[in-house]
Amino acid sequence: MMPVEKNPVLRSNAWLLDFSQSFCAAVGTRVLLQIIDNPKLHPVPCAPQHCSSVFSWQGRLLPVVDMASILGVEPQTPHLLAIAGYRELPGEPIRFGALLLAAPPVAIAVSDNQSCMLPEHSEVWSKFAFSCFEQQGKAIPILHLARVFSSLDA
Amino acid sequence: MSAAAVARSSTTSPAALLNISGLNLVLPQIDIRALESASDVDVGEAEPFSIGWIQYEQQRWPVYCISHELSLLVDVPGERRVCVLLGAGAGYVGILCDEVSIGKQVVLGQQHELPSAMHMPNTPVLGLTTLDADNVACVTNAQALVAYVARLVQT
Repeated sequence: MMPVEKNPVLRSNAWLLDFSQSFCAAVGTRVLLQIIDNPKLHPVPCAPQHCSSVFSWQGRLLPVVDMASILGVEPQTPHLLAIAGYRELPGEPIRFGALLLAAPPVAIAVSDNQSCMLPEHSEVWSKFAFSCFEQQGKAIPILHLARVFSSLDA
Repeated sequence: MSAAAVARSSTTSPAALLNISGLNLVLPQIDIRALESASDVDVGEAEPFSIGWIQYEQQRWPVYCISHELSLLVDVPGERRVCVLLGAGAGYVGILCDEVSIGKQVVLGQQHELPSAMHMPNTPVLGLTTLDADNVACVTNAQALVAYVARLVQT
């Protein structure tokens, strides 16, 4: 009997997030908790343009970050919101935040051999990305959410 | 004292709720020294960036009109019907609002710290609070708000 060779099937381990105008980044599958369609945002004055509203979610008021605004493109209209959970440091309590999206997230499979250099706007991505991988010829940063939800100066 | 502590202390006493073009601002009711009609504001010889004067305790105090983004306005929107007079050190400052709620009308929900990503230098927003299922208010106090307006006027 011939041994059966199993096809190596890559399971999805990341979400690809579209922040508008082809600006994309990825987060781990466990990071995204919920997608909200047409969210009601509460503006907060005297806040940075990229984080100028909060979203009420499960008794919390989550900061809403518009990565498109950070990247210098037109700020997004609040159409889709991704609720994300992250830790500032390993072992610390989970914190929550929200990211504005231009399209629903897409599940993708990423492996170590896809790592590459940061894409355009690398001065921005170097602040907000752990690392980067290549997906269909495009460099996709992996978001460092603790930095995204702390401040631009972090 | 941390911003969160300031925000908590700001709202442990009875609170007042100011509505400015949809922006909800909560501050300690004790910070409000008087409520006047916007029509009582004397618009003659206004100081730069103020919209006029209000008479209180035999003196006149500057009145400012701010937007829902907390920028100074020189053209007063028609919906600004109330002038709140805030204690500011040794004097007072008037701020025009659409509506002001005080006493038992103001029921605050859970208090929240301002998320760290939203901190800006000199912001008068000290924290956030829910009002009901659909509304959120920014927590401030007279000291922070008057200092903020003074900085806007100077710059």
